[in-house]
Amino acid sequence: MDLSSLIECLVDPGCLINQTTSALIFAMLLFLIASGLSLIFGVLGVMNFAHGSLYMLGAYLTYTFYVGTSSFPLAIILGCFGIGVFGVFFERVFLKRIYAVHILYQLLLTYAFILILDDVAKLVWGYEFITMGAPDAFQRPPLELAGSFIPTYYIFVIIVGIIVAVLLWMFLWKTRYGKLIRATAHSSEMVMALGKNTTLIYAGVFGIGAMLAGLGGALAAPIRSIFPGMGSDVVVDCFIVVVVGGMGSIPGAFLAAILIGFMRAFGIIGFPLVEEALIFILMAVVLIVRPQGFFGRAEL
Amino acid sequence: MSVLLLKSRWKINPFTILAVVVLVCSFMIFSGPVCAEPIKIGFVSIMSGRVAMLGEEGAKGAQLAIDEINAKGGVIGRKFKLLTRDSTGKIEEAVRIARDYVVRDKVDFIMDGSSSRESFAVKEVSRDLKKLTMITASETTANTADPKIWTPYSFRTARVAIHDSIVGGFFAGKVSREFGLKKWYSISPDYAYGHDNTTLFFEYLKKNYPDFKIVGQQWPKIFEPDYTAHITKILKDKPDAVYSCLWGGDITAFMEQASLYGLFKRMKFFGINIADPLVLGALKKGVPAGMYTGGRYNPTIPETPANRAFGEKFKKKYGTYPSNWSWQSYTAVLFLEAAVKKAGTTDNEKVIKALEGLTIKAPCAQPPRETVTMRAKDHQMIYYTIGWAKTTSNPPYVTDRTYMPWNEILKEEAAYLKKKGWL
Repeated sequence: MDLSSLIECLVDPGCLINQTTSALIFAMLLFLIASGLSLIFGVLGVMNFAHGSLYMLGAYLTYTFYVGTSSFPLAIILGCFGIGVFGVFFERVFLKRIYAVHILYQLLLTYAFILILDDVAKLVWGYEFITMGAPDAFQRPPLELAGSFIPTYYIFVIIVGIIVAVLLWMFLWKTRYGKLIRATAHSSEMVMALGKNTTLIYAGVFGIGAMLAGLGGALAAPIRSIFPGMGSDVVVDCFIVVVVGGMGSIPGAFLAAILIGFMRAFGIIGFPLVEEALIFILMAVVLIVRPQGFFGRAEL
Repeated sequence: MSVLLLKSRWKINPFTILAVVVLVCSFMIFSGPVCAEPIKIGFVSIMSGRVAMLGEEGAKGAQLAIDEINAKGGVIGRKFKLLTRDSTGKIEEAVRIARDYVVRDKVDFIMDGSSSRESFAVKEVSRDLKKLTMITASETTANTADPKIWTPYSFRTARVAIHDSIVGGFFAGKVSREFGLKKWYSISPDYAYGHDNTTLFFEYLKKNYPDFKIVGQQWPKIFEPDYTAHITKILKDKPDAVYSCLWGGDITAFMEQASLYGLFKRMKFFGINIADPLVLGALKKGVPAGMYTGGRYNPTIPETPANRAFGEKFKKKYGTYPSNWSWQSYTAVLFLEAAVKKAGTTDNEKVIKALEGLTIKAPCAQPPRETVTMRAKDHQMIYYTIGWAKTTSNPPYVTDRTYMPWNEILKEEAAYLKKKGWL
């Protein structure tokens, strides 16, 4: 423990800004992926263990499109929509078969897809890791602000993360489709009885969830290593976010992701040897004190 | 009619039959399958998941050596054949594969390209079934140095942690004196390798340059995707130099993220695992210049015609330069070839005798030598190249290569082993 340097950092604007941006960048990527996972669980009631693999595929697709078109915005859009389409396909062909059966089959199916998609990535892109590198527009010295450094690409990612969070919230709470989705999450039988097409809603929600994971992968591609299996660690963090934020809750996922980002960024200074453990401690505390998570419904 | 004819000929001239046999046999050797049983090597390693490169690269190196030897007609009239199987990184699976190789496939030798975790277990199989095993990837010092777990059946043609640390400290000491690097930092993966390697590095830096202090150490978990918080912490603490034994995709992710913060412009960076084609090739936006790196494999470390030729041969066959794991398994096959030739048999006990103290020509030899030697007392290869260099942005991406004379490495190693009680 090193509380004195933690306090020192909290009163030093340079350090404070540095650690805050590093918290936010981690939080935004985590939120994008975890919000998809949470949405899928909330509406479909499926624990999608292969969600990290969708994130991985998003990174690979973006890298491939970036090499092909040398346009980064186009690569992000294609990568993210590509995963959305794959998500719809995945839901229609595989997932729909297990809604009615025991939850263990969900585990079996989605876990199997982690292995399958990892091997697909290995066959298509090879076993070597790839580092795409930040696009040329962001290859510039970081902004300097009160003795802190902020890479321009990180500003971009944080802005995109916040925009997506707002859009997602508006979509779910302010539009007719959003209301339908929430209604389906609450009682799909009732929605069906009212003559609405729940099949479409299920496919659409899984597509959106997959797209969010794909977007996370697309934005991570320039700064993280891309390799078969890169989704496995991320999916663990995502589950923590979903549990802490409340299963199925998007605002909860946002808050939990930001909280975890800050715990990491400042934990590294205050508790340098156990910063990884802090997150698990947080989860344990939440599970004991408020088992449904920040914004989860109690009956879950 | 023809049968009768054959019968009558057989009676008349037995040499005709013999000639036919020899002819068919030589034809078969020419066209692939051989009359003499091939010398089988069973290669076990990780070939799937996120460290699949360990096994894939190792198998490529071994196969290249085997193809070269077979093109020359093999050794003692027999050709080499490589079997490969994937342990998926599981210890019990690696053990099962190694046992299967011996019991079912009746291999002549095992080649263990596993990480240290599985390697220690495969070593016990080789002891148990008395099967000669070449260790080609595990770098943990104890694997050959610790007498408590030593077996006469294991030989290692991989680099060793203690050698790397000795040379790393020697090199970093030199650079520290030149630039007065007083405040050091480290960022290494949070498992046995990362801790051991980093601790030893600083221990040997102290011997070469006592005048520094460690101002901070970080231990991100292995396969950590995001180092931003670590990087900003390092920038805050403003060290003169940073040491890292992150490897593979971890070091590339770290380098990419640290570049965005301009970290490499603000301090010296020593990364023991950067100069490897897997790492440098992965950096699609170019290699940052001015870092110090250990040479895992580079076609110009050592800068010898033999190494250059090996690199180009490999590239011609597979399209990329070999990695660290490729040259290690390549060298293992060269050792086996030489030992079988010397023993005149694949009988393991005799090949072991032949391997002990054996000196062979190999591309990985550290200049001025052109040979590497299998040390008899612990079955560890010595005189291989351990180079450090400075990175540049253009191929071959390294310059200012520095080597530590092997007699000094061996002196330091002996002192270390004595301290450990292993000598």
